[in-house]
Amino acid sequence: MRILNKLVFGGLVGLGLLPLGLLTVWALGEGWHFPHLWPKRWSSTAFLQIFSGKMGESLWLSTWISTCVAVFATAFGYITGHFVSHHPLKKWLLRLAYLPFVSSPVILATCLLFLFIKIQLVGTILGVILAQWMFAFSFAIVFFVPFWSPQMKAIEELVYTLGGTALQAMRHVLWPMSIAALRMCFFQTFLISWVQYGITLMVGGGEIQTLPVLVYFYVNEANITFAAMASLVLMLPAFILMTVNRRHVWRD
Amino acid sequence: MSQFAGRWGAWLFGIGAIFPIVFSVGYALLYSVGWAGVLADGFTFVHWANVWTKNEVLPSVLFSAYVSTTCTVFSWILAASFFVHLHRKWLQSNWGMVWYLPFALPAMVAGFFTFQIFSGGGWLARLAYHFGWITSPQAFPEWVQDPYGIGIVMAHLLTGVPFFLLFFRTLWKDAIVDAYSELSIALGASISQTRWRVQLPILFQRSKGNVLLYFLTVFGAYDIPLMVGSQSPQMISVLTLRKFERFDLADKPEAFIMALLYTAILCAILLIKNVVDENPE
Repeated sequence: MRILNKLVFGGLVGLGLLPLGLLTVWALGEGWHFPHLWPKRWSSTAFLQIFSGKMGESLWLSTWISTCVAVFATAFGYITGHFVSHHPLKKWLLRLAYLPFVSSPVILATCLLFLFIKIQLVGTILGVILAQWMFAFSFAIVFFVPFWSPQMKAIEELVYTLGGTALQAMRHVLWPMSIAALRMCFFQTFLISWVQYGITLMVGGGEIQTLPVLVYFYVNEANITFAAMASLVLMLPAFILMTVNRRHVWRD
Repeated sequence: MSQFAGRWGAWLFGIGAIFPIVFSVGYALLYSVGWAGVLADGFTFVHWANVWTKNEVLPSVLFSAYVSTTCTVFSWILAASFFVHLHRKWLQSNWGMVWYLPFALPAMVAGFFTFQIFSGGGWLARLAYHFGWITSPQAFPEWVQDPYGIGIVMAHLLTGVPFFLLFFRTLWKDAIVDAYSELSIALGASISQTRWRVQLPILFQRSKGNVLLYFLTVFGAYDIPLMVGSQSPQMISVLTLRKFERFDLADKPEAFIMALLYTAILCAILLIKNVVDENPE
């Protein structure tokens, strides 16, 4: 029974590695036609595209957009989470905050496109940042509401009772206690923005080519090698997050 | 912080969380009854009537519900079976971490990967060819872009199972399931009874809220159905955008009616989630 369990577990580990392994093979192979199981030859063309060409441009554009979205969503979510958690109607406000976060980005973008056209943000980087920010911000509120617990409020009030100012409370007490949560929220909102496809396509009008848009573009072109390489690059931040967060998620 | 957050938090909440939803629902409602958009000729229920006669919207809603239910049920059952049978390995072995890697797959990549594995020219078809089971890609079963949504379900399972595994790992420790299991065995229950009467009920009770959230995520998914879904029936997000982008202007109000239906379903499920969260037992 123990051997069977080990075999099953080993098989599951292999299955877990399969997507990463196959994507790497596809990204570094060329001439992979039916019925060949492996590519005919190996090539670094797609890999070199990361640093130059279309993929390189998309990588920097995605990084820039996701960083902006994550910075603003985390900062504003931190403040708004405080407001919601200490509001008498906290339960209802939290329910409302869930709505944009769990909505289908494509459906919400369909309804909001008119507004983006009116304020002339369609086809602009700013428009894409704003559209993605709505989802990331909503997530950040939901993330920070439990963080601003009654204990946190009591600690903050204790600082005032002991004669501290609002600035001192923030600088010496709240900020050091918030860094871990802020870092986690930044990573999560970065990822929310990083993988957005539908809303980027709609508000970006096809002109803002982030990495998910590029993956779909390559798939449509039947360029499997480049699609696989762009997919690997797209997975990179999530791997970094899991590695950085490994101690908390895995070992805690 | 309290004063600052009170002043600015209210504004930010209004602009960032309330306004997009209120504007979307309001605009979609006005568009659907002919009070907004290019076809704004005055109040009418024609578009609402068209939606029910065209026989496109209801199949799409039902197909989305079927796909999301299938994905949720299968993801939960597979993750729960893997975890309950092998929980010591998941909790102790560093190799278990590997299974969280697919969780890092963005939806677009999960769709692409599924297509490359399960399509007629995909990796499984090539394996089948080498085993002599098929002689051409056309002979391989239609598992992607199929009318039953098999490809969509497969792609969602790729991320859904790791999601529940990761969740169960946290839950197992929080709910001290190991302690309850030991108690149950000490009181004379068999391992099988402990699994069915202690471990699985705890996992189910504690994961109900997340199950509903996962259901909602799949219900409104766009990237995966776009990549591996069929032309008919289509999932609700794909059909909404398709109707919105069609050249026939008469289809646009129907896109907004679908958006309203989706929002109504979303609100109903969120209300159920709240009831579930408030009555965990």
